[in-house]
Amino acid sequence: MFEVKGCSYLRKFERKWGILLALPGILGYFLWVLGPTIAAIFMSFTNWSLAGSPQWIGFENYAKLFDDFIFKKSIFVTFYYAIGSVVAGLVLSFFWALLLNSKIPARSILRTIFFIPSITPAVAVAMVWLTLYHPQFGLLNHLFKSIGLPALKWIYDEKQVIPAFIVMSTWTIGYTITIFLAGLQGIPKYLYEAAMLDGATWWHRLRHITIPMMTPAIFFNLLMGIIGALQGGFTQAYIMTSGGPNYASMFYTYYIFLNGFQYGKMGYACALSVIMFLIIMCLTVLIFRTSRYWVYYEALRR
Amino acid sequence: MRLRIFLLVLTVLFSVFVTAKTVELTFAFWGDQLEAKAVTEACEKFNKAHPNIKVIPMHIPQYLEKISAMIASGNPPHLAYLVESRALDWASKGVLVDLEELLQKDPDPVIKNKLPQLYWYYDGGKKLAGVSFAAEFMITYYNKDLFDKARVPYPPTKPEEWTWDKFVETAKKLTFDSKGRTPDDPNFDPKNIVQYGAAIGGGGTSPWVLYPLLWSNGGGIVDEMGSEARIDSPETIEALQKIYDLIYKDHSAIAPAAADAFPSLNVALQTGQVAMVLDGQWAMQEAAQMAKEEGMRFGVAPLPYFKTPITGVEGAPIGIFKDAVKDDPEILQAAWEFYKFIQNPEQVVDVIRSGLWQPTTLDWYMEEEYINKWLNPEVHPAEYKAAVIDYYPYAKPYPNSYLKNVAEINTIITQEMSRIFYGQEDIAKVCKETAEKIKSLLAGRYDR
Repeated sequence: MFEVKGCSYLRKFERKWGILLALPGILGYFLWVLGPTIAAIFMSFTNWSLAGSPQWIGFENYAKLFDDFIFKKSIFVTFYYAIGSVVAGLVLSFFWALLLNSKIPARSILRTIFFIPSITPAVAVAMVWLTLYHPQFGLLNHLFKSIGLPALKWIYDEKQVIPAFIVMSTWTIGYTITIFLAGLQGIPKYLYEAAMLDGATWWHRLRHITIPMMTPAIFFNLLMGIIGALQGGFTQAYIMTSGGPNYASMFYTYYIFLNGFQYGKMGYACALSVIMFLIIMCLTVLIFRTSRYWVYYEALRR
Repeated sequence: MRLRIFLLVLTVLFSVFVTAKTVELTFAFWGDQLEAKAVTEACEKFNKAHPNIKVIPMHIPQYLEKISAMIASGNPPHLAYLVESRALDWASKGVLVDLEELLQKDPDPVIKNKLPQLYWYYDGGKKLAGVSFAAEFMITYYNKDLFDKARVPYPPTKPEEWTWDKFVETAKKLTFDSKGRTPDDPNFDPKNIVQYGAAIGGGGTSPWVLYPLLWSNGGGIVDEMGSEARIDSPETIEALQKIYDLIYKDHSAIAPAAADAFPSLNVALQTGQVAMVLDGQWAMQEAAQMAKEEGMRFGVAPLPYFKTPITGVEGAPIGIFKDAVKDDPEILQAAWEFYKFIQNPEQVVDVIRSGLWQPTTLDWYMEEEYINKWLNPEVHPAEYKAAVIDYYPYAKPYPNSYLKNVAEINTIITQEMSRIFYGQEDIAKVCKETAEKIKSLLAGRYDR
């Protein structure tokens, strides 16, 4: 593979420096990502409690999952949230990207404004939404009442809490919008011009040019969105609801945290995270496999 | 020349010896700014009085996560506040020094004379993990102006007199709709209530206020031995029904969903939306601040009760970590010296005078001389002595200080109780299912 002998001095020099300069990243990956991942897989077969030394218990933690009703509930809650927030996030950010890509006044200011929530600390975002969702004095219920709609209980109701969090998640879609915007700007103008000559309407252009040309961006955002959303919800549960009411916001990450730190069952928490790791891996593979049927890559077209 | 070298070596050895004589101790704790300042100052005071010991205070945010990591790495602080729901599990895993042994050698009067509820025993009651550094009772707070305006007499200070029925009756008289009607009025409009008679801290779901109320009716979440569920007992269900009725039938207590959304229940009290609040001692500091800044006149009373007057007392313990002491008798002795010092209410009297904590030693509840040291007329209302200080024999410790798997059980109870107090589901059904769900977690007590 690598023919070192025949290499010029420059090649050797470059390789040495290349590896050296990439070393912080590589080391970081091994130390902070790969290392802990392997450790977590290992610990998931023990009864480690953080205090005292761990004992090997085989698949006991995994067997326990089947009897754990909170685990099942949290899987449901997390998927409900993930599907809702990814779909809502994609549709909304696509819409905003289209709007921000067209010639509207104050475009760059608007683009900045849409991005700001994404760089706001999650805790601050949670605090703001806590006041918005106040059943009695919150802004949202105030608006609802003023247009004659019934006031909601929002995060304090079993059925409303996840929809409320999905709404909240659509507030921080700055990154998704940015990627869509970049994708939109990469669509060649001549396609639209040709379509216009053929008399294509606004809808035809969106349906037959914009969306097909955007599929790589949609694919990327879908994948990142699902990975992110399945690991999401921690701040919301930790700060706003403590997983309630009636486990309705018992996000998977929050349940891992509860087991690992509050209950002192780090081994079990590791087993939980291994399961989520497997779920996300399977989903990623699945999305990649299906991508060839719906994602359009110009370079790959034969 | 030889002599010189000899002397040099001697000085070097001597200085090494002297520096080695100073024992360095780390002490980890949590708390708000005032608490952190008071504890840090106490450490400095200790260091001045003990030139051979140096305590390094470590104020840690996100306490549980960080202290857990420190314990896991085998590098814990020498002394630390112990998170209530984890303390005895840590102890039973052999992470902590058994204080009972130290106490037997040195029966320190301060540590020996704490409120009996504040000792954290494990290993069948043979070993002591720690002693609480603060105490906090559950009590009733009320806004005196709202009582005066409605011409309702203040709640009594004697625990026996403050029955649940009387509490309900008082709450009804202090609940008004937008037309000024009370719930006893046939035209009362429960959709437009402007002032509620009461608020239950934690919305009836969190252990602090809920458990003492259940205990007072002969109920609870588990039996005395911690091996059988009591959450589905008739006594528990009856108590839950009465609390529920106060909220949803009499409309005299604010619904938890609405109460949750206040920054604190003190705000509800101060803005006149709620006349009485059942909450812990920890709310006193803020209430006192509101009294000072906004002119709120607040009063205190015991917790109302169903059959026997009872309240809960909460307070995290301080422990000494084995991995930090490393079997060194000198370090252990130094840690014990500091332990005795920091456990003395005298050293943290500022936090006590601020209203955040109550003291932990019996003298400070019984003797006039000590009570005067911490009663602060700017913070504690006039009836505080009668209502709270004399209340101590009624205080019962929480399951945190004895029950195994307590954190998981508490999570389940809180979530299940939200089905009743938020979701308005059938109480008996929820209780039965809850009992089923906690069954596998009931593994007895650490101290029995």
